[in-house]
Amino acid sequence: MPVILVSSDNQDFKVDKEVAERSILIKNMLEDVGESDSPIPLPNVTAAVLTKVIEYCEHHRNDPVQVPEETDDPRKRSNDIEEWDMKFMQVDQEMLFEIILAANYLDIKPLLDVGCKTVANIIKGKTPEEIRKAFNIVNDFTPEEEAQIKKENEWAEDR
Amino acid sequence: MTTASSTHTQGNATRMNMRAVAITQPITVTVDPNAPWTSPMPATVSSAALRTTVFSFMANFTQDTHPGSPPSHASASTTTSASSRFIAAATTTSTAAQVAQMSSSTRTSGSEVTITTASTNTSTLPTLPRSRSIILVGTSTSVALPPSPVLVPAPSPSLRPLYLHLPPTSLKQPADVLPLVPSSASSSSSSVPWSSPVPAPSLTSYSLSSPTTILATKRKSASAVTITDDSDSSPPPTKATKVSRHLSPSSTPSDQRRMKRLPSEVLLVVARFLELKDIVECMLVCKSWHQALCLILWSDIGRVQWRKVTFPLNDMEVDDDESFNHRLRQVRKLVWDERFNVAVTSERIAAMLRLMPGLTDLSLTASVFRPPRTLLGLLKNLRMLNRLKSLHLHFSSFHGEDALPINQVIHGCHDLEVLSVNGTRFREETQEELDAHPQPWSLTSLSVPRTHLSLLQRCPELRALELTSHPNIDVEINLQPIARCPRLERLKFVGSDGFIVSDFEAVVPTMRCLTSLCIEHIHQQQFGNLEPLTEIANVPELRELELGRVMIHGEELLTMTNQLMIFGILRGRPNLRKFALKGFTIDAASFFTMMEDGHSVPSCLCPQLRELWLEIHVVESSQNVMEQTWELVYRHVARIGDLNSLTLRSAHLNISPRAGFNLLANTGKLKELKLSNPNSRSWTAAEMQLLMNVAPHLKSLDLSPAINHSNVNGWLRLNGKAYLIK
Repeated sequence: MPVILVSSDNQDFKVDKEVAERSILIKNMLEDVGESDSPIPLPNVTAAVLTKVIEYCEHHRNDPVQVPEETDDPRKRSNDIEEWDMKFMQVDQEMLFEIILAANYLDIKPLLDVGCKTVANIIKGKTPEEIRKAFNIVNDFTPEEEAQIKKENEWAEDR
Repeated sequence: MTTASSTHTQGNATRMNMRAVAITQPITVTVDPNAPWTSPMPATVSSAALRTTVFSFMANFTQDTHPGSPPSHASASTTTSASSRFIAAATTTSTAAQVAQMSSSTRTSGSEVTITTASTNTSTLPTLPRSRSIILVGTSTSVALPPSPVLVPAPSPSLRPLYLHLPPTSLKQPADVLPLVPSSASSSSSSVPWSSPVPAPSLTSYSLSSPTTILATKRKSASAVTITDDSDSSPPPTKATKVSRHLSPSSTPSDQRRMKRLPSEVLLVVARFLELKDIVECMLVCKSWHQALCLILWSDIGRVQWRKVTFPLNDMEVDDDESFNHRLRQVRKLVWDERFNVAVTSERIAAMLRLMPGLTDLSLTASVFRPPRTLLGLLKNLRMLNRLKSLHLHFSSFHGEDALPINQVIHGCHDLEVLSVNGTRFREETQEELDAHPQPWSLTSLSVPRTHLSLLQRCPELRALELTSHPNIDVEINLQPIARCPRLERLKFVGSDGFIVSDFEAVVPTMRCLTSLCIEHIHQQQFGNLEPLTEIANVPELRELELGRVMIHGEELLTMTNQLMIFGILRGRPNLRKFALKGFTIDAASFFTMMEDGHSVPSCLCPQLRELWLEIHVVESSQNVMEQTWELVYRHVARIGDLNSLTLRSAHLNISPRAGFNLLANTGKLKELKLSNPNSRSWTAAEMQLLMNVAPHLKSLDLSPAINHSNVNGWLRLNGKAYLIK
């Protein structure tokens, strides 16, 4: 049975229940509410973002549900993004952040992870200045503060 | 703290403002404006209990705007009427009864929902949307007010674990971490008394309020551009123009403001995918990043840190340094193993633990003999760590005479959920000790030597149990105490000595919730005694089954009887999701022929399997016969349509198309593949290509102990699959 999702700008999206339930938030809601054909308003997600999110969920509709295992994974690898996901994430930064926030809000962990991995890949191997440039951030440290932080974190440098 | 009570009020003068919802009966929520904005949840409420409940109900509060009714008066302060009435409507719920049910289920789970608010005088707020949404989130006990005209689904509490082990208190002010939220709240609703004190919430409440508020601010900043920037006379930027701006090297100030907002909460998740050196670089980016990442850098101390010579904790002199002590208070997880760094003694660790009151995860391993006094001192300090959720203590020592009772060790750790102890330093409590503190523990996961089974009477909530072997003692264990844990979902036996399942049969009927059973280290000769394991077929929820030897010395072929037993188990459990038989090889020809023979059902090894681990013996004979045998194996495995993870070990591994390896392509969902030939061999490029064709979605490939690992790696890299190999 299809589910109707309503974006913050009042656009309706008709999606299969199976697809919508990739979002744990929606899944829980549907479970709690039971059979109902009322539309589900998602006031934190714009139509543009919701379109992307639904595209993701459609593609991954048959994925096995991730077992939430927080076992001691070694440092998670950010380079094991599937090809399709990688292409999917080729959007401008603003959209990238919004997808991440929407994934967080809708509780779609695989999407949240993919988004965050994408951001991590932007950061990797860059100097602070390069990172600032990549994200348009202004350096608000004084040189003294910067020196202090460097000193504090000396131990974490590779050696 | 007030409890949100809901009662039906029909025909109330107030009017529903419904958009997408079909509402019938309104309900009234009574709130106390004087109540504090945030109030911590009672400590007795475990988040696990909340998880299953719908913990929030969505209310669409509309101020009284009905022309005929008296307006509700309120000043901007929160001290007006003792109770204000609002109308609440559930989101997709169509009757108030369901709302009431939802809120009552909230109460029954032992928690209280706090709503505090001041009523608004609509006449002073002409620009506001007429309806506001209030989200009551039980776990975080916070109230968020996105300026949204429609109902807001609240996030599930399960979101919280995404944000590491950071209790709300670790964030001093929400404003420090997410400068955006308060500012946009005030900008979008400057005169709203609602917005006043933003609760110091858990990150969960940010996650729900931030997206909207960010959007609100974005819109604002976008319009600001058109007003102030004369050269830019275009209409408010559309998506497309925004994109082009991001790409252009010169960015406007508004862009900078916007892009700075990689929200800290996102940054924390991103950091999980970063190496230490990248995190350190990120800390130099700007102040807000520094602050957020400090938590990451110091929240988790383990092997990596101890190995660094310059790591401050390795330096004896830092102990008196106040600014350093501040760092220690950020520590949430500490893993210390004597083998990491012998220079840091357990005395030192004990002293440091005193400075880490926020610790939630602690793991201590000492492998060599230590004077008991040190150990006692260390364990005394554990009492101060009353936020501990997870505790692993592994002290192997051969002096058991002054062993501590376990309850004394974890005394005071009321939130402890995971406990793992090992070594002779611990003993069970005596009856007197038990009587002195009879209250049950909150443990959900326990790993103890299996001589300590009597501890189970303390753990009625237990979900996972691991029973390890006890070094010097060789006793037959009585499994009966397991019956005291009716909620047990995962059960694992590990041991270096033999495993005896004398009364397994008797316990099985009590395992109503068991989903996973793992028995490691079975001696071949004991397989005869494992007859009771056929009882597994009577564990109703069992989904995962793992049997095997821990220390594998070469191959050991299962006897025919045991092969039949395994076959019987698999037949009886068609809904298994995981099956692993490690350390024993099965005779492929006879085992899979059994599958073929005389069964009317389409023969398939548990069709719902996701994970399969088999070690396969193929009788040496002509190449033709061996290929036929492999073809039989692959044919059966290929019938498991949802298989995600496959491990095949065999000294005669054959992955040629003639042996039917291509059949595996039918599974279609393989993400993890381990093909192992103990005799080790090389892999040709052609074989690699075949592998990739058969399993195009692989994420992890393990071909160890292949000789030419570098060749394989080279091939993978060449084909853009560099990440595959473990």
